[in-house]
Amino acid sequence: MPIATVLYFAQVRDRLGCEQERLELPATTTVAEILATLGARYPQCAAAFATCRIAVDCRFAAGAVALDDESEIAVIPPVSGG
Amino acid sequence: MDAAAPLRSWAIIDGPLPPERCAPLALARNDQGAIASFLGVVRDHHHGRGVTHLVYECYRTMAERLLGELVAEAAERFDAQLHTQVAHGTGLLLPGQVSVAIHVGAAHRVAAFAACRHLIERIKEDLPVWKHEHYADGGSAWLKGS
Repeated sequence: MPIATVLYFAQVRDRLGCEQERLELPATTTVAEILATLGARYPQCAAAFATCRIAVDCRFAAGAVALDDESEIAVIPPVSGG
Repeated sequence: MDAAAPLRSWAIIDGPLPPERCAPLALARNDQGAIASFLGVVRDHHHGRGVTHLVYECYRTMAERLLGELVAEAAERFDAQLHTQVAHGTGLLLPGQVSVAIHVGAAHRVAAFAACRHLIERIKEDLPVWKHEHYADGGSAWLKGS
């Protein structure tokens, strides 16, 4: 399985105490599976992950996701720019 | 008629937006009949609590890419000849400082207003930026949407 880079931001980053990590994930997966995997790995953030979107290589993902070792997955909590 | 390509620029800036980012003068061109601008300003209160400052966190590589896509989307939707300048600040901002500036020039006011409104709403929906609000009473909180 590929080892992708996962980025965390804002309240999720604060709660995890981690900005980024390398994580082994299936080459073919889905946004829901990524969030479920992260929720199982970090139960203290499971509720927060449920409110997050996933971006892969700087684009919001929906449904199926293809990953490789170069993939950058960002966990995007509800945004509050402007 | 000015046949030059439309001016389109977007940027993520360290700190608050400087005055030159807040003025749309670069968009005043011969083919423009209207310029609409929106400035987002840091407020000194939130739900009754005094706000001392905000810290804007940004996923910069994605935010820069997305701003470019939103500018292209606005041109596609409202007027291919729109001139557009968009900038968003990051880091520590004080009340009264400008966090986001959107300037849209068009031949007519309807497209300028509509595209300007569209851009700020899309930024609020999708731009990967997060406000960490710091209060006069010593507390702080990440805002959930706005």
